[in-house]
Amino acid sequence: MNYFDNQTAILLAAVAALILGSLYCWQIFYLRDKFKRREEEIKRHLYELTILKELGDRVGYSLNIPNIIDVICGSLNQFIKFSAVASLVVEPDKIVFKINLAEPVAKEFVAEVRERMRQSLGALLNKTIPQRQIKEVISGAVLAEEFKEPVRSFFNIPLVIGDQAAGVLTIAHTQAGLYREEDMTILYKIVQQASRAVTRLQEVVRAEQRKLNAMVSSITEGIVMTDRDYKIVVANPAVLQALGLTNQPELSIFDFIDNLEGKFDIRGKLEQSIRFDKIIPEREVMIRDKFWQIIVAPVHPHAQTDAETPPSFLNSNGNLGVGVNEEVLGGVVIFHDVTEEKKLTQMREDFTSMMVHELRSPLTGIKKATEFMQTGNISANPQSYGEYVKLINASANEMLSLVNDLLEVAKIEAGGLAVKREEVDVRQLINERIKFYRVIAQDANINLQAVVDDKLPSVVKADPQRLAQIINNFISNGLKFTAAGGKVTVQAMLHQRRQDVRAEGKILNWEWFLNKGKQSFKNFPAALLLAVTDTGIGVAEAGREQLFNKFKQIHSAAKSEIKGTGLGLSIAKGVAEAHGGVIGVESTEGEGSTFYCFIPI
Amino acid sequence: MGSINKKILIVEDEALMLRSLSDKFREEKFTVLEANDGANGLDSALANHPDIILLDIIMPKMDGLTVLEKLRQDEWGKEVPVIILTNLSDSDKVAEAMKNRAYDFLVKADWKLEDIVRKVREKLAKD
Repeated sequence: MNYFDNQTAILLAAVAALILGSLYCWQIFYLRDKFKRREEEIKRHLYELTILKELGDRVGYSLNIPNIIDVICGSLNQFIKFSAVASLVVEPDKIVFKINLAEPVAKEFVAEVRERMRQSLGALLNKTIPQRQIKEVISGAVLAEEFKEPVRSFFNIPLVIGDQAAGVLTIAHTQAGLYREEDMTILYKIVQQASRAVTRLQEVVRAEQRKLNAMVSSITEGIVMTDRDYKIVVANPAVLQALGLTNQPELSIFDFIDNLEGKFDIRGKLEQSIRFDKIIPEREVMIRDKFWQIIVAPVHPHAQTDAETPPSFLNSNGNLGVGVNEEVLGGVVIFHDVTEEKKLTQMREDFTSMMVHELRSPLTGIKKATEFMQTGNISANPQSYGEYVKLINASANEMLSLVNDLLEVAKIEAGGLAVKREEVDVRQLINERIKFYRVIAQDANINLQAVVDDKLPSVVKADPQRLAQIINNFISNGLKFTAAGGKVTVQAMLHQRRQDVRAEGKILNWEWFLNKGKQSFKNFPAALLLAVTDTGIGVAEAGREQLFNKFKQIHSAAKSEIKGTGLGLSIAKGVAEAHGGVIGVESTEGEGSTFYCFIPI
Repeated sequence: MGSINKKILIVEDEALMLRSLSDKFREEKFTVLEANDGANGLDSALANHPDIILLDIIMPKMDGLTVLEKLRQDEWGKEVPVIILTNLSDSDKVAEAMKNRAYDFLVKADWKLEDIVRKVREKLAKD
């Protein structure tokens, strides 16, 4: 029993030990395996981290996709075995196939890799990629005919930037069954990380670009920027408009050269500006019926930001930015439209020469007349003599009133038009003015009359002489432009605050052109409204503003059949404004006009 | 004198100038036609076929340059001698008139009435 017991006990112990031992062994193996896998995982992670860091360091904030791919491909051998690593990348004007060979392979091997990649990129882009579009770069080991091994292991990683397929990355080997899912996952992750970084970076750049474009777009000056090869970088709507390039989808410097019609050597000026790092201004170039001031300037990568920068962002050398030593990025051409300024100058010159004419003409007349009176036998003819004296007197009056008008205009411009408000009986004032013009109206067979709103107070506070000036100008203007048989009506009412002047006119049953206008003067204070309505030729909408502009009026007066300086309306405007009022005209061409002015009271 | 019954048309908007010139040429035994603006001047020229025309440049209704241009389009008017009356300030317009074969130009303020008469006689004597 004891023996048995001992034996049994030993046996049991041995079995137990065996079981325990094998359990232990199994445990050890199990743990070792686990550790090994963990170690590999850590290695992969480490690799991932390393490569991402390396990518980060080497690529930096680069948006250069081929460069990023080169970095990825260059570091792959640290963790994965391959015969070749290849990339097929879409560039603006071509598709580049790059293959790096880790061991010698046959030409067919490369061709096969290339073909597989062409297919998969084609599938990604959803289009066929022609062979001839692909540019091939082979590096690494040699191509050797004696190695006939085909592609046995292979995997593709798509490269997507934003929503756009940018290329394919491929690992290939002549041995079969080499690549496990983990390998692909890592590479996939890396590529994804890289593409995400680029996408984000691109988004930032695009946002900046959008801001820049929006800013450049809203600038009324035409702006075109080129790089050093005269490739168009930016061209804002204003410049496209100016040169008639709005419907051109792709722009090159040649489009600009063509449309500048030889008036401005844009390429030559850019070259000069970039080479000598200098701003080149060009005054008054006439392009497509407009006058332009054109400035050509070099563009530097960094604009000067230090405290010494003059506020005009031009430094002392007259350069944009600092960089005399810095590489010039390209050039910018700015088109500033000076047509209006030029027109204004022209108008001013016309005005002066017209004034000179208006004064010299009667003076020369007087000179000739007195010359004739001295030498001729005029004294023998008392009737003729009297006529000469009358003509000389009329000429003198004409010149005097012109000089007075000019002085008024000068006073208005200097802001020195004095308004002496006192109590004015507007009805009486209008009647006096009508009496003054009655003879002229009768001679011209024009019916001149007045209608005054009963609600208009018997007296208002205004400058009577100035009001008379306005009425005079309105009436004489109406008489000038109305044919025989027509009508000129002086109208006056009290415009109430918040009332629509068109409705007020309707209540009074007035015939005028204010109801044809868009303005209601609803937000205008209570005012004396003076108007003169005629049945004359009317005023085209485009010319209405300019009637009150002394330069413009003078210009058209010379062309019209009516002689006159046309200063009257611009003086009336000055008078109305000195009263804090407004002046204007509403009209229907061919039917007549209403000249009106509101004098706040 | 050779100028008797010669017909002169004076186109001038300044009343005194027109009157003085007209009276002077009448004294010199010319037949004088007057027009106080460009449109009247052109009508009168085409209707009356004067021997010579004195033409102001800056005038209402139709300026002197337009009158000259229209005259030159007319069968008779293309050969009629025209002397431009001018102020100093319109020299560019004078240049344009000379292109349209104006015979000569006279600056109004500088020329005495008798000089203008002499100039007209000179031209008429040449024809």
